Amino acid sequence: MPDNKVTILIVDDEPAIRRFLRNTLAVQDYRVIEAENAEAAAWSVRHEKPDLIVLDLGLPDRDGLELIRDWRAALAVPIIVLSSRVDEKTKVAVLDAGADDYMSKPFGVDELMARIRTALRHRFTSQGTQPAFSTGQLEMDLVKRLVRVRGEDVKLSPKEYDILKELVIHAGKVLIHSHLLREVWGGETAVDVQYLRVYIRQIRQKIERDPERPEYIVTESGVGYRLQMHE
Amino acid sequence: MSETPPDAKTTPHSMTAPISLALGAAMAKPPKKFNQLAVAYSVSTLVVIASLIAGMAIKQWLAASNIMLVFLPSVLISAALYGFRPGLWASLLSAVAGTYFLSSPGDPFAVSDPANFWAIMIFTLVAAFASAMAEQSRHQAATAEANARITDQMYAFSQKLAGIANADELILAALTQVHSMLQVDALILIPGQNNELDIRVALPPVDRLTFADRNAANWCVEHAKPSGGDLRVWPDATHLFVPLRTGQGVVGVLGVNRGNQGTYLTPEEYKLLDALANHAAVTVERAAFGAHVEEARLIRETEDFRNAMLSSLTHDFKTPLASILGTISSLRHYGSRYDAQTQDEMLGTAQEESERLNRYLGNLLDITRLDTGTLKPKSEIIDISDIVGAVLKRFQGWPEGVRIVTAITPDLPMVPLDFMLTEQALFNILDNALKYASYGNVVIRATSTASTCTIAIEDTGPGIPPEYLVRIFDRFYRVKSVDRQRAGTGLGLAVSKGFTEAMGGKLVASNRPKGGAVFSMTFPIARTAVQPMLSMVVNNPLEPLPTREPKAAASG
Repeated sequence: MPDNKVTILIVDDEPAIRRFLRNTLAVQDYRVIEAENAEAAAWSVRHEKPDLIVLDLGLPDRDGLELIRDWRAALAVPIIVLSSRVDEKTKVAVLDAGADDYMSKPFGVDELMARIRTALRHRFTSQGTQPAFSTGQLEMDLVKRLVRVRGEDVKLSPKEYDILKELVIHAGKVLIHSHLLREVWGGETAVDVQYLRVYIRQIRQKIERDPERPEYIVTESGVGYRLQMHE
Repeated sequence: MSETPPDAKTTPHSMTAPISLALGAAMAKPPKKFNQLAVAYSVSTLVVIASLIAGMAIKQWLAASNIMLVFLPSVLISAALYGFRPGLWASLLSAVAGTYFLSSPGDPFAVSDPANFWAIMIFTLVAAFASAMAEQSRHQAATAEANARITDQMYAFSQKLAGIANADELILAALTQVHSMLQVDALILIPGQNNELDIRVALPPVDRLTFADRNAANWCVEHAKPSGGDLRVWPDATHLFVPLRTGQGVVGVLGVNRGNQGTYLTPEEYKLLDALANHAAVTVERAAFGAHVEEARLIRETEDFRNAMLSSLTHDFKTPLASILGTISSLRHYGSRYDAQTQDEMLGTAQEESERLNRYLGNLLDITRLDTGTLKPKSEIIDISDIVGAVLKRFQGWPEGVRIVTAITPDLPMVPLDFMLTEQALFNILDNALKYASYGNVVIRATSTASTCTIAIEDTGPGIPPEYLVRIFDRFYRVKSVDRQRAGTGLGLAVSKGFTEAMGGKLVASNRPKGGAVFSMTFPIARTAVQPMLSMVVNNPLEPLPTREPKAAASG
């Protein structure tokens, strides 16, 4: 069925959840395919080549986490995980395994749709990082190493710049603490999450209008940070 | 109780004798009765006389100096049968009788030949020595026999202990052994709260100890040495106390009492008591250990239960909520883009999921009622088909693809039940069956025997793995891990079982030979149960049932 619609695979064993996701996505012109277990999901991924996967962690035949690892090794499809498990450990494990995003059940569809759009956009741009980035009133030029907020230049220290750059490259996506530490500090082992918190605080003071209510760098409790996209 | 009694320097017996030395009551030598002595000496005398007669008969073939050998068997027989003294008596009698053969013809008791004189003297010595030896071997045989008997008893005792799991029974068994082997009243004291000694068990039952006994027992625990009884430590105590010692120290006290006669034990009995005390100590320790294990198991189970409950609450509340919230937010944001049919489908989803959430909440409340004991089942005379009809009404239009078929015996008796509870129990089982049976029929079968009535729900699902047939009724239990199963299945069966049992019935799960599971609720039929006045063939329970007047019959 070669049409130009973006294909989204929904993997969930709950018919009620599949039903509202299917309807919601369909009216936004996505092509929707469904799988009620891991086996069907694996088949669909192989034969239908979805552009994005919405995956429930608790499947009757296999743990969703194993599926993420399998798929990550082979393909670059964005994966958004849905789960009623709320512990940070699971979230970190899921993101670490390569999922692009994580949503706790229950959730509002508008939030999910925004995450889907972000993940899809990221997918289409990730082949080569855009030299210039902007969302809301935040602009960043990765070539000239310039950061501009509400029309004014912001002076960032090299570490602050590196952190913001990493968030911008993965804009809209949750970056877990260990990912940021690894990318920004490299092999330095003595660095811990506390450092990261201090730097994030400093960046927020420079770019956020109200650092207590950040618009750009939002905290995912116990998991990491995300650069919020503004549409 | 730290004061030291008048003389606590020594205890008369080492209490560390190994069991092989514990000869006990069997070896205590009671003074021999006169009758027994008379028999012993008479028999010995008769044996010597028999030897004398035999000697006269064979005299001509024997040399004079060898004639004494005739008497040797009689001496050995007496010694072997009755011990040293009757043996010695037989030797002396034989010596006297021997002089009859060896004396000069004219004077029967004058031994003229010195060789004959020496023969008699040596014979007497040898006979006396042989008597002593016979006595000793007799003693050894008796010892070995007593030993064997005690070993047998102790072995049987250990075997018995090994088979007991209950702490109270264990300790009682140990005490019973002491009671029967030593023929004493016995009790075991164990330190309770504040380290006060409590009577754990007593044979015969005892409520409290005398002051002296309590002091003696406390002293025994503190010093890990025996006290009371005939010892010099707390001699006023009526009981003799020995400590129950294990590797972890003194775990309690064993007290024994011979009642009015005073508690005087022979050394052998002391040794036996010590061996029994060792056994009792291990038993008490084992019982305490068992209690700890039980406690730990309870804690673990409570924890498991709490974890299972948390996962279940998370999953079973969030899953329907996710559907409701997702559906409603989708309708709110994109509602104008949906056609009427899709809108209706989505509203239907929200409604179904809300109902599911409500059922789950209902189950949670029911479980709480069961746990808090606020559930008071009524006992009304109920028509089973009536209940089945009510349950089917709740399922009307709900199950897709699976048919519910009823098979109710026409002359089913009425059963004393609580209508609401039975209906809910049945509903949950049916709900479960419909969740797992994706095709075919679910059959509700009601049958009865003279004393019971059974409602069985048979499905065509995958059945239940045998190892889960019992656990399936555990709260929050699912055959697979929590959030891999359909939501809301963790409590229904537990509620069904709880309700069924609250009404005096039984609910069991099994597998049908042809595949699929069957849940059977069995209720006793009270003797006064009113038999239906009309035959009740209910082919379609959704139809109104024919009106009947069971109440009038019940009151008559």
